[in-house]
Amino acid sequence: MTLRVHRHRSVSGALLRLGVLAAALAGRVALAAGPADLSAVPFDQLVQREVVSASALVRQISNSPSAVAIVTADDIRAYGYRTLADVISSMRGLYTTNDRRYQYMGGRGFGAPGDYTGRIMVLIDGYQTQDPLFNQAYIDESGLIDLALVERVEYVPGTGSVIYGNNAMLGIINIVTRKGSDFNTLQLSSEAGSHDTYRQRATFGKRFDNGADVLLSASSLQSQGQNLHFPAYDTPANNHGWANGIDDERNRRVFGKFSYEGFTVEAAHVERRKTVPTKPMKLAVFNTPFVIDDENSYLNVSYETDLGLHLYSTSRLYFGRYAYDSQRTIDDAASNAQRKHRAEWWGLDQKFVGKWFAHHSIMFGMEYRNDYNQYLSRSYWYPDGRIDAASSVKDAYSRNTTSFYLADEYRFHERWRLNVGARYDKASDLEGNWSPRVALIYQPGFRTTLKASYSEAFRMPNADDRSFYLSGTAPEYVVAKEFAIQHDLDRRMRMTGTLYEYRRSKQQVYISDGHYVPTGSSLARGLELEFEARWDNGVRARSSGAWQHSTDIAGLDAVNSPNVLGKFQVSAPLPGKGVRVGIEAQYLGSRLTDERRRLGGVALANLTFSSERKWNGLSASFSIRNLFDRDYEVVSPFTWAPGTGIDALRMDGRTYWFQINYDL
Amino acid sequence: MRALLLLLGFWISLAANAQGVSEHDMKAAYLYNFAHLFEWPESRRANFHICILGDEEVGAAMQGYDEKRVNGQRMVIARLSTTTPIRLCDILYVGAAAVGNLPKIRSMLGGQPTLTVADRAPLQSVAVALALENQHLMFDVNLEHCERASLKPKLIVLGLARLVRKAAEGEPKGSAVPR
Repeated sequence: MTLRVHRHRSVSGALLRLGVLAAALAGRVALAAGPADLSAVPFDQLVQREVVSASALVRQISNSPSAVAIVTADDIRAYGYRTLADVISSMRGLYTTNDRRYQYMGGRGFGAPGDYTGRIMVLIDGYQTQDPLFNQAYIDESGLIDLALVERVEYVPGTGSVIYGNNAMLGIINIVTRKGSDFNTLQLSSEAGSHDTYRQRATFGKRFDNGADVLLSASSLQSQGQNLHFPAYDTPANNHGWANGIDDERNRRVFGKFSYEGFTVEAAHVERRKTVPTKPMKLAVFNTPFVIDDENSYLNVSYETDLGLHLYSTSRLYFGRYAYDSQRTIDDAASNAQRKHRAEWWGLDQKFVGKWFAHHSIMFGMEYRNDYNQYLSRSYWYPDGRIDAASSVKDAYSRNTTSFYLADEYRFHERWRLNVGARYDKASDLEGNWSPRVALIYQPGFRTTLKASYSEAFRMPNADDRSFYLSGTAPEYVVAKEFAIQHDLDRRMRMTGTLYEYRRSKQQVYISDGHYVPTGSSLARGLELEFEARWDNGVRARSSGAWQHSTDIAGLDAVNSPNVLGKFQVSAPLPGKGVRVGIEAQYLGSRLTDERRRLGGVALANLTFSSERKWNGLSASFSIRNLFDRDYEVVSPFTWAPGTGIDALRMDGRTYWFQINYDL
Repeated sequence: MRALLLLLGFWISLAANAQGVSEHDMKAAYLYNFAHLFEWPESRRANFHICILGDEEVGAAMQGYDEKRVNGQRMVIARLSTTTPIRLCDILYVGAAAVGNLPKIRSMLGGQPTLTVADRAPLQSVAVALALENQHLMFDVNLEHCERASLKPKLIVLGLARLVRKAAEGEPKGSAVPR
């Protein structure tokens, strides 16, 4: 505070001497320059000037009829996010659940236990990252991308089947990667964190004089993990509930992107090995090694061009591959269980945008996707090496999907827009399906936008569903209604509010003897409010609250669906402006476990210090997560320990993390 | 005491340095400079029109340059809400909110000598594209577009541009051989 007073006085003549001193020290003093001052600055000097804090508030890229939440590279640094799950947990109305195997995302009534991060879509530069076996989006260390390579993450709430088809039921997480020119050097990075966790990364980025841009990056993570205590297994036979030395994790990631004019080639690969310290299946034996391997890769080639005659084209060709392997000991005569799942697919998407008419922007196109390999294998082995053929399962599936889509944005009045669209998806094993959307957008002034939408989305049964529900397999549907209002108080502050209702139908209902019928329906309603500010002095703040109520297929309050979610983030440069401090608080309201116990609400705080600017190519950040060492539990996504009254997982206490980057 | 003052002075200078220029003020300053750094064909108009479309902030910042002089002409700032009057513009700035109109703008202008400048837009559709990179405002120049509009950028512009897109190969160019 005292420093602030001095700063105000410094502009008065009283501290002129100090000012001269300062000038001598820093080489130059740049005074606040208004437009009148800038006109006198020669152009070659003008281009050298630093430009502050972009256009105060971040604009959304996606042209979506819902209120988009955005986390930028600045936020990722300021709040010390390490995985996509951290980013998602910071967003309005969303939360994540960690079962020490994967992290799962929830929000708006979605995210029931046992539901992998499915029913949402995670896109990296337009490529859909979910695997077709489980429709899982990987948001933890098994995910495809290092956050250091991310320019921004947008969360587009609401359904997206009208554009993306299958599985875009809850919303879309849109990841935009950075460009080579954002690095323009070789950057080496090293990280160290609690539980013997280390990461190394090398990234090379360059923009060439002809406009070509290259980004290459590789990283690896090793984590020893912890010895964990599980009260549910606290018996002498189970090592008193201690799982020792079986919480390690490692991953390797490679990413490359080349772009020139409208042409982009992008590829990524990740392989993650995690030892699971819990007992996630009934037959699993507690405190025995259970190792899972996840591998994801893709190649995405796209070309954007102006065809003339007001017609624009985007062509995309992609290949994807997913592999899962696991080995564990089970409580059975055939004591070795092994899973080996594989998926490979490719697709072609051709999109056109026609701007032939003054008030219409017409988008249309087609996509063909070939899931030519969907392989699920579960096998069981006796200790002497014989296979238990009776219980081993090998399922192979495939699917071709052909889709057409058409959408028109009709600006029928200076302040009004009507957005109408539909997508038709025909899969080789399913009936064709239409996903429509209608949205009305009203802008009474340039600061205010109101959006109302109605949409329908669907999800095709994935390979795992087909293998599990057999003849009962069926697509699932959702009808969503949403109203959003966005108002910029001025160029620095924005308020956002949304109201929504989701009605899901054709959900699987358990009848008896392992039989299911797709007749269930459920409902989620909610309200979300957000305030966001980026002041010119470098202080940034965001705060949001979400109130939601969702019921499951039995009409009961949904499991693992908190009624209240709160987020609060503020970051500011410390005096001297060399270091930024970021403080984050998250409130996760009370929610029900699988056995319908209610877990109390919990507030968590994170604190991060990060360097604002590079010093001789060096930059660093230091984070403390769960600052006040709160002891808390999350709903366990798997059948835990029936009868013990314990069906929640205890999460980590305070952890530390340090990162240092060096630009060569 | 002296050390303390020194420290304080150092901090103040850092804080002052960090103040920088806001993005829209900088964009307005660029537009003002472009008015001097490109050559327009002879015009008999008394006024030089700088039009701003789709960006209120840049429009407001540009207002500070109203009535300044450029090559004997009086600068007039017009903040547009539609594309209808764009054929009267000498410089047309297209903000992010109006980038979707670029194809239409391009066909409305044809070979008209209007310098189109856009924010975060593909370079093929404008003469100058602005982009914020590493806290600096960069600009790319599309010579093909300039040629079509009979505008000549001065050398300093090409020198300071991040990227210069050359006129298409094989296009007829003026003979360099004196007759």
